[in-house]
Amino acid sequence: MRWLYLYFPHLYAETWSPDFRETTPIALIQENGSVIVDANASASDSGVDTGMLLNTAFCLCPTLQVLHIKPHKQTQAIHRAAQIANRFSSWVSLDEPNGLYLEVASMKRLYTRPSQLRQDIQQAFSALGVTTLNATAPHPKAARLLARSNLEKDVNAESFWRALKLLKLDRLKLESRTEYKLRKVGLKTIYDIAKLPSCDLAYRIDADLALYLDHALGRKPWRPSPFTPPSRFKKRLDLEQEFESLQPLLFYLAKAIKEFCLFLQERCLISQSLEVRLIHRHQPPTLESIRLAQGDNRPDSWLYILNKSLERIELSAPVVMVELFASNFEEAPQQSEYLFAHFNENIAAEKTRLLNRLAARLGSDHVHFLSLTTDHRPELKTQQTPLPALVKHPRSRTSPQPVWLLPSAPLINIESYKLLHGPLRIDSGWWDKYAVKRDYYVAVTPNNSLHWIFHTPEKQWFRHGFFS
Amino acid sequence: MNKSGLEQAINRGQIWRGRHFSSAPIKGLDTGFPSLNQALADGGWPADGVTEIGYRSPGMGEVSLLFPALAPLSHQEQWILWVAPPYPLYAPALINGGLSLYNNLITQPQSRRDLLWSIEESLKSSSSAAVLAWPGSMRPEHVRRLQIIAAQQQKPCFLFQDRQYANSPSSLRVRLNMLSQGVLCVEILKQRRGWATSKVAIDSLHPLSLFRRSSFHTEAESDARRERTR
Repeated sequence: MRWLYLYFPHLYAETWSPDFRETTPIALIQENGSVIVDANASASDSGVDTGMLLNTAFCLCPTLQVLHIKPHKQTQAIHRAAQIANRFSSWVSLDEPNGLYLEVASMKRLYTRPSQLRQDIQQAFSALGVTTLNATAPHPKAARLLARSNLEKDVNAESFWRALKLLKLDRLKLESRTEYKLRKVGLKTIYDIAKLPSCDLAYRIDADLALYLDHALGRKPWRPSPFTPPSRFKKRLDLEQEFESLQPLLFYLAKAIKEFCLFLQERCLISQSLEVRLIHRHQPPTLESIRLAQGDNRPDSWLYILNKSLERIELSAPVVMVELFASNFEEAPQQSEYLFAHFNENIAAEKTRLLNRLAARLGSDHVHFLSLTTDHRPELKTQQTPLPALVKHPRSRTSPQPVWLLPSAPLINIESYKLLHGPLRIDSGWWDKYAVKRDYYVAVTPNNSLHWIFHTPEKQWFRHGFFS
Repeated sequence: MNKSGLEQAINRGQIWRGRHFSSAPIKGLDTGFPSLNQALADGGWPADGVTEIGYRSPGMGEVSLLFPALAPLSHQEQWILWVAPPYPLYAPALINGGLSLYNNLITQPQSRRDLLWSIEESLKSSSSAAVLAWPGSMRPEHVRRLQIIAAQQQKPCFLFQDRQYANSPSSLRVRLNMLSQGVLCVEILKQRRGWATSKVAIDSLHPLSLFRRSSFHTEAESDARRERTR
């Protein structure tokens, strides 16, 4: 195997700040740090350097613009770079935050001269305005060491040793204590320590350093784990004519949905949501997000939901183009391999289907399950949950409980009621905004209905439930 | 060999005899009230049809009446569907009634069409054990449709109605009346496979102790009463 290491010295700034290469001085700091991590050429000209305190930098260059590095954007930047590099090798691995390993031996047939490959990679990135440094070596960490030391080389096992002679110790970015120890015994270059037996080095100096050199020199195997680009589905339908209603459009959408389901099935994935963009000629596009209650990859369940969702849309202008987009996928659940259909699984699949259908037509906020909380206030005792709560509640025969609880308790005239049972005092919630202090009674009305009523300390009576 | 042709056929087992013709007795859902079970033709709520329950105002025990029948269903795999209940359900009441909270799915359709669709869809799905719905009132042709589906799916469907049509094709139509002292009167207006004249009084629905006490007693008083009864 042969490895190429790509080092991006200014990846974050060049990805996210378009004027990094311009004349405005720009410096980067970590999100809540005060030390400069990276600076552009024009900032460097005024004396701003990495490792400098931000205050010092402002003194040197008052017009300095400061960028804060955000971790998620940093990940996005390296992922984007990895997707570009994917073109040049089937095995790309991330070295966060600003490096990539590429396995290149397998590309030998396509690129007869290795320098051609390196040149092509360089060009692909410079077209996007990203600076790269690269080196190739028989082992991944060797290539990394060379590329990061600004030694752009194509080395084999012997020439790597020669290259090590040129590298000073500080290239290893060691802890100052370790580096001091090494200097004390007169070791100046990496070549000097690489010559030493690694067990001695591990014992006397530093085990991590010894392991690192073993990896770089191939004395112990180490391979980076490959990066798989995130999959997403995007489908654009150019319509031959403008559509003023959605019903005829469904024919085209059904085809696209089948393609979407095929995409999922080929990858053993399921999806829960799909974005549909209806593009108009002059107006901004209409967006409709289709959500299933549970992920699926079968065309008939997607088509049904699509049908119901589109029924609710009112078009403001004719549709000239449609786009489908999905990017959040899950692994399809493992199907058990019973020869005869298993009863319980059929029910589970049927439950999913019913829930999806109900939620699609009625709206998911009008379909719910029940769960019980530990709160003593009746109105907070029952909770509506989108999925069944898997808690078994013991049956307790305490006091009679009403079947219906009114969402808001209306004021009543107590004279028409006859109290049967009570009081049950509920005094709770003094710790939050919604304090409750009530005495509950079971009462019967003149037409023999049973109501759950309460009074407050001010002797006002309210009806709160029905014993239906 | 003077046996008749008929006899030969019988001996060879070629004759199908009609004595097995009477179908297996249809078993209803146990209502939990012996007197009501007796009055109903299937020995309980119809397990494969629509039951229309008429009531005047909430608070008569019209829902709790079904709890003994629903409790065993709710502990099975399938769901109990509550379509368009008039008020939010209070979970402790379900637990007191012996139901499992886990298997109750509540839907709130916003229009009449959605309501009918939801009931039908819930009945059709094999994931439901029973369907309870509050359509207000329902026209006979809609009831017929549900009755056919419920019979096909062999599933009970309960419709709570404030106004009932006389000629609806349901399996069972009852009207509830609350008598004094917490006694619920179930008037059977129409039932398939049975007479529709009986009225059943159920007094164990609400704890009778609620009604026995006319006023509030102190602990000492109720202790004394207990002594006396002993």
